[in-house]
Order: sequence, then structure tokens, then C-alpha cells
Amino acid sequence: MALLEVENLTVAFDTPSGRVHAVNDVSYTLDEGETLGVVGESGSGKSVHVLAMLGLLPKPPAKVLGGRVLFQGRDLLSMSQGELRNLRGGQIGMVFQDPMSSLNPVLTVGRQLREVIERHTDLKGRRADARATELLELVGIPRPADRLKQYPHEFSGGMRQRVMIAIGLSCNPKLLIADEATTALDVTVQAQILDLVRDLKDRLGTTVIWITHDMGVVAELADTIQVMYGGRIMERGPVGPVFRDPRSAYTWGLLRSLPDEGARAQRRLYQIPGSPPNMADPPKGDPFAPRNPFATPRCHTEVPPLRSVGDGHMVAAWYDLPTALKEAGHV
Amino acid sequence: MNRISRLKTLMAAKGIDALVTFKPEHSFYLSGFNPIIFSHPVIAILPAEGEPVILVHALRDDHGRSESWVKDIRLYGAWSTKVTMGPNWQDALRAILAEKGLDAGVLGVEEDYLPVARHRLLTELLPKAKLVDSSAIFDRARLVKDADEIANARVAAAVADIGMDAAQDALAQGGSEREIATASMSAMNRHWALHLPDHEVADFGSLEGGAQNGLWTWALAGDRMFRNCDNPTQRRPQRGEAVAVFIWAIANGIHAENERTFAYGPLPDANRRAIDTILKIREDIAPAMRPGAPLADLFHITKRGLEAAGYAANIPGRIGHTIGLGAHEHTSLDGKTDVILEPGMLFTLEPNLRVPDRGVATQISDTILITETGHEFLTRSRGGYIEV
Repeated sequence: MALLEVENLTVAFDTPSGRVHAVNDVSYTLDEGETLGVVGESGSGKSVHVLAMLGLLPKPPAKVLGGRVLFQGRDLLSMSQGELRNLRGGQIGMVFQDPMSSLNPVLTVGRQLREVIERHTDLKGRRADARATELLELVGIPRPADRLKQYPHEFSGGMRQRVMIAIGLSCNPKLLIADEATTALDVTVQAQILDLVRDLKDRLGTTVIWITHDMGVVAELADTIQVMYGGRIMERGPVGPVFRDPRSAYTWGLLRSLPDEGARAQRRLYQIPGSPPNMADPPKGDPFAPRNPFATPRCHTEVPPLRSVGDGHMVAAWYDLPTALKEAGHV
Repeated sequence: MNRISRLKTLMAAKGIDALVTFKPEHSFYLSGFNPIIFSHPVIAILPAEGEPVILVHALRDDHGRSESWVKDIRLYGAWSTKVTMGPNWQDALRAILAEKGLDAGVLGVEEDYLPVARHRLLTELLPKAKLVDSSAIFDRARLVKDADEIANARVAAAVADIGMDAAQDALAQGGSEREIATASMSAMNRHWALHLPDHEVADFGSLEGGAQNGLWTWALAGDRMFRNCDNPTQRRPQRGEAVAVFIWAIANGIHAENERTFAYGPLPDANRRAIDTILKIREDIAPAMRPGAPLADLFHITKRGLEAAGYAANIPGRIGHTIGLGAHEHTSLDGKTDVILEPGMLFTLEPNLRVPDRGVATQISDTILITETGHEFLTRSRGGYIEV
């Protein structure tokens, strides 16, 4: 059953140098218990589209130009800021990249956890304290009762991110949204956090949107991958088929730019040629066309719709990637 | 601007036809223009109906026109080729008020600011007008900040945080009070120079002096903390002493305050206990900083906390103040204030202790914004017990 339905979401920013088309006609559904990995470069729209649906973009300069975002059947875009505030931190938990910016360095971790718990649940006082202790324990922080009395600077980077996840989970959210939540962490800590999220997902059945630029993280964590570029979905589908048989040249480029143990000695890492589009003056057709060695003339003039290429696997492309790769001698 | 609407609502309630302001903070509030020195007054006039007018000396013409959002800027005095309304502000002001039909109206003037001589002069200059005190109107209007003021407060707070980090580093290196202060001010100024092209850091000057730069830090070590505000000295903190660092920063006319007490090496138990008590009280206060809560509650929570910890004889008169155009604005966080917290209010949270007979002092302060749902710490320097 769909927990979240995004329909034709379109978001722009009005800037002194013109309108920046940040999210363009994005549609997808997310089932209960599903983990969606959203990948893309900076400016791809991967973060902006969730910030827009949660009412977290400053308006102006941001403007939602169209679409609907149904969460349990209710349109988030029609809700008041008050209703959205009740959802955020309640039924929708959020974890952002930089725990030092998200956590208040001036107050103890316990006070900050209690504040969220008391705002969104009926738990107060000692019961809120007990829940805070339980949450720190849940995210694998030793001596949780003692740690609640400490300040963020007394925690390591990985521990701070665990605290952020504890805050994100504090009200048993139906949906957890994490935006580059492990990007600033070293690989060992990142692996611990991913283990933790997998474990929580299994135990609590939480639905997750994990936003990252790291294909490796998506491979480890997600059921479904959604590749975004130029504010559009370029490809979407179950992780296995998309990684094995990508149909978008952009996804193919991202995968080729990953280090590969077996191939490291034979080739240098692939770099996608060119640079991301200027979204104040976006390309007329497929936004990836100017960087795509397999682009057809139609790619430069007409935006391709998402079409099915298999069981739940969809791509927005006028070209047929397997054929193009074969012709170019890549297969 | 919301502040203009707020002022006009308050003026209507008091039957005031126009505000005539001389106070630098208020002429800036009504115009966005800070000439830095006020040897020639900047006079802002806000009619109950209609747009504000500012009257400036001719030598401030170019500066005023480039910075003020007020369209109607009039000149007095003589300077270069400027065409003015006459040699002095008195005649120009009378002419403007006559032109707007306000010379026989009820005029609000700042009795908490005007020198007696100037008030007398205005009375003689405008014999048909009734002069009333506008001080309380401004105090009330300034309690709630507009979006642009909040944005500037965030910038000022971020600058203050940079200054506090630099102060802590300088202390850790064994710096004197002056070295701590100058390292902190240097770091703030460097950040301003490199990263804040659209922000001025000028403060508000007076008739006889200006304040080109309002990024201030001072440090007081050991028993010098009891002086509260003093120019830093060459004294170097001794191991086992508490050191207080005080910072006021400003961005486009809006201040933020950040204060921390550092332990220079382990502190004696009495000092450590005082800091822990204050930290606990700050945690207890946090949930009460929300819209609809009485501001006085913050003081009462502090009072109860200090009494419970055995500091009943050391309860301060107030635990903070509103902040904005002034580093210390009018309203105190005491037990008597009748202010109810609203989104947009900005104040310092600084419950602290002075226990002179035990040589114990704490000084921790943050700039707090009341939001729609609670509060936000604008200053975000490291909290807790900080030993360097």
C-alpha cells in the first residue's frame, strides 16, 4: 500500500538572475516498509523535492509551481505550516547531513531529545526521559542514561549522527527521510549507521527515503533506486536490475565512476564529461543530453517521459542504452 | 514594513499624529540609515497617515540616499553644491511639519533620550503642537523583530560564535585578557571582511562620537569577573581561574550577544558547582521559552533553581534582556515584567551567579529567538562546562 504518492511535483526558485527550475514534474510512489534511495549530483533536485514536500523551503525564493504530495492520502502541499510542523518530527522523521548544525551545542542531548518527545507525544517528564534513554540504547549508544546529560561536543561524529537518527525515530515515524546522513562520516562509522538503519527498518518496519550522492550506500540499503538529474527522475527501479542493467546513460556513467576492485588495475575511474545543466536556462529536451555520448537528435529537443523497461524498472530516455552500448563497443 | 504598522497601531492607541525621532536607533529603525556619527541629527518623521520622511544634514545626502528605504529625504545645513531647506534643522523640521499639517498636532518625542535643552527648543519651535512621550511606543514596537531584523540577528550571532571560538583558542594558548579580546575581534572582523559583503557592522554613535565597528569582545579573568564590564587588561589568567568572555556583535544594526565562562584548568569545587547549577537552570528554562509563556516565568524558574541549590542570597535582579538595535534593549527578564512571549521576540538568556565571599562568578549568555513553536538559540557556541 502506498504511504507516499508524489504527483507531478514542480518547484522553482526565483532569483535575481532568473527562475531556477529545481524540480520538474517528479512523480513516484513509496510503499509502506519500502526503502527508496535517491541519488544524483548537487543540483539534481534530490534534496529540494523532499524539502518542498515537507514545507521546509523558504518562500520566497522557492515556489511550488504544481503537483500533489499525498502522505497517507493527505496532500502535504495543502497543509498549513502548523499541520506540517506536527507531521515533521512526528509521523515523518528527518535526519540531515551535519549533526553539529542540527543539534544545539548549547543544550544537553537529553534536553533536545526530550523536547521532541514532549512536543509530539503524550510522554512528559520521567516518561519522556525513559523514552529518550530507550532511543539512545536503540541506536547503539552505550551508557545512554549518562550520555543524555552530555553536550553534543562530547560525542564523536558517528555518535552525533546516531543521536540525530534517535531524534528522527523518537516518535516512531511512519516515514524516515535521511539527507546525506552519512556523507560526513568515515567509512567505518558509515557502515555502522547503515547497519543500524537496516536493523531498525527490519524491527520497526519504517519506510525510508535515503538521499545520497553515493551509489554504494544505495546498493547496501535501498529496495528501490531513483536516479535524479536536472530536477527530473532519469531512472527508477529495484536496486538489483538497475545496477545490473542500467537504462539511463546517466545511471550508467554513475556506476562506471564507482571504484571496482576487479577493474581498478585495468582502467582509470570514469568521469562523466561536461558539467551539470544551468537550471536557470535548462536544456530544451533531456537535461542530460548535452553530456550524453549516446544522445539522439530527439534528446536535444524533447523531454522523454518515464517509460517501463521491466518489472518496476523505468527510464526517461529516447535512446536504447543496451543497443547504444553495443554499437559503441562497450559490451 | 511590519515595524511601521506596529508603530502606527500604537500611535493610534495613544492619539499621536506623528513621531519625531532623534534617537539614532530610532531614526535607523524608521529609515534604514545610520550615519555612524550624529553630530548633525538625523530626524525621522512618521506621520500617522502616510510615509516616513527623514531630514538629514546635506553632507549625509549621498550616504542617506544610498542606504535608506525612505523616498522622501530632505536636507538642511550647507555642504558643497547641495540645495537644502535652510541652514539649520529647526526651521526645516518646522516647515516639514507645517507642510504635512502636523505643526499643531500631537507629536511623539523620545523623552528618555532628548536632552532637556532640545526638548525645550522643540516646545518653543512648535508652540501649537502638543509634545508627548513616545519612548514606550518604541520599546513595545521593538520587542518583536521583523524578518529582516531576524536575518541580521542570525548573521550577528554567527559572527559572535566565530569570536567565541577564537577567544577560547587564545585562552588555551595562555593569552592575556587583551590577547583573548583582540584575537576574538580579529577573527570576527576577518569573517566580516571576507564573507559578509552586504552587512555593515557599524554601531550607533552619538553627538560627539561614532562607532564604526560594533564587533566587541572583552575578557575578565578571576576576580575581575566581578567588574562585569571593563576594558581588558594585560593580566594573564592563572590556572584554576574562571575566565569570562563577553561578545557583542552587530550586523546591519542588529546585535547578538554571546558569553561563556571557561575553566582555565580544573576549577575549585565551589566554582564548578556554580557553573553546573547555572547549566542545569538553563536546561530547566528551555521548555518555557515558547510563544504564549510569560517572560517572567524564566526568572521564576531561575529563582527556584538557585534557591534549591543554596544560592538564595545571590539571586540576580534579572536574567537577561531584550536585544536588537541595542545590545541591551529596554525589557528585562525579571520577575515583574508582564510581557508574554511572541514569535519574533529576541532576548538574551543569562541566568548567572556572583558570590563574592566565595570568589565565585559565572557568565553565560545566548541570544534567543522565539519561534512559532518554541525557541531557537541563535548563538550556538559550545555549551556545558568548558575547561581549556
